[in-house]
Amino acid sequence: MSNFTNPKSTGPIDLSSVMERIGGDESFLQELIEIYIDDFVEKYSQLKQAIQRGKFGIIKEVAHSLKGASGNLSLTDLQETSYSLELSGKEKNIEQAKKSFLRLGEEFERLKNLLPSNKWQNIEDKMIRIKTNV
Amino acid sequence: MEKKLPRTRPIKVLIAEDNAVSAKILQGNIKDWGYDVVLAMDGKQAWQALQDEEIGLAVLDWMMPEINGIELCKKIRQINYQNENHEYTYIILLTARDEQKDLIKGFSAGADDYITKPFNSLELKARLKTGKRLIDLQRQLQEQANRDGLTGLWNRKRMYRILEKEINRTQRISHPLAIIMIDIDNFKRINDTHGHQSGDAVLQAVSSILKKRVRSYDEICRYGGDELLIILPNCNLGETKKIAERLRQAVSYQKVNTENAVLDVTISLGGVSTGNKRTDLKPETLISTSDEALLEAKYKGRNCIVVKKLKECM
Repeated sequence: MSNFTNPKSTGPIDLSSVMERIGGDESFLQELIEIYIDDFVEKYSQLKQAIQRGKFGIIKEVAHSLKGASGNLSLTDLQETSYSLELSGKEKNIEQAKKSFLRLGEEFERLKNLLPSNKWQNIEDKMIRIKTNV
Repeated sequence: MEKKLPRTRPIKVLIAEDNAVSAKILQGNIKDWGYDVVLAMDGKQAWQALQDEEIGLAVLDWMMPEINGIELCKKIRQINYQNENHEYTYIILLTARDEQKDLIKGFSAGADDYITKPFNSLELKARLKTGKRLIDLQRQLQEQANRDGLTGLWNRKRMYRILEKEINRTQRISHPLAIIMIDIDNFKRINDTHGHQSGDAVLQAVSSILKKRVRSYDEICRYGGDELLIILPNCNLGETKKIAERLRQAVSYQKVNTENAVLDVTISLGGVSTGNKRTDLKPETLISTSDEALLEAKYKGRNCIVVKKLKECM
């Protein structure tokens, strides 16, 4: 899979560590990334709602789960941002939550190259709908 | 029904993880290492799996919807301690790095080990192996505690447990239950004439013939000395007679090779079957009735069967 050929680039994913975890199977990684991305879109939408309604418990839980998934795929930045979002839920800090939420969306954009472009288009449409839906 | 499980049966690993990506990675890894995997996407599903299947190792996510990892730990330990026949479940908690300070909570809830997410696969493999070692050891001990060393049949302690369970079942579903007591004819003479090692060989040979000739769900136990006892669930009087006769013939037609001699061995059998409706049935009642029947068979001249219907049911 050509997407994964450059381990030296500082992309969103720490390739050597994730490959070690899943036994070097590239097609399995591709499958996992697709599951992750679908899962992310759903959680992103849940997070948006939770932030709008000030539901800190949900923010904390959803961000926690996202943190775990990101960590397992060695998506280091997404993992860290999920963590700060989780903390803001814990501390009931809505400003911090909003900031982390936006950053999460930006970092997610960087996964673009990990999917075939037609699939990504579909995901991007969904993300735009979530972001613009007030 | 008691399962006769070979020692090598693979250990089932339950993965309880609500996140699809993490679950998938865990499943892929753990399958590759030769375990059977059962996947649960939340605590409730996990709890169901733990009750339906024999789970040796459980990898539980700390934070899960419905029932979280800690609550699950407590529930698992409850069934482990309430039911001594239930296999011990070795629990590994999956925690996030910042939950590490809460680990004491996990251990006091009954977890055996933990691993932080994102996990390192070699570390997880090693931790599972530690758990497997414990489960294997436990299975061996359980096996040794329940089997008779010479014949490999269930021992007397186990026999009573099976009997009690079958009696309970019989009363619940109104099926007849039968037992057959077996005694090797002139066993003392075999021992005196050919030596105790020959006696042992005869016991082993008879046990192995019986094992092949009972129904798959019958249980054979060594009652003591040269007396064996077979527990036959859902077996009426006629069927009990048929099986007893089949066993008698099987033993009498086969010669037993011992180190010193080739012996013609025969057995006497005393059986009893309950009726369909029974209340207040005790193992002792069944055993003493089959004992009486066995004694009658001996008096009739050995190498024969006597099967009775339990008195209170006539």
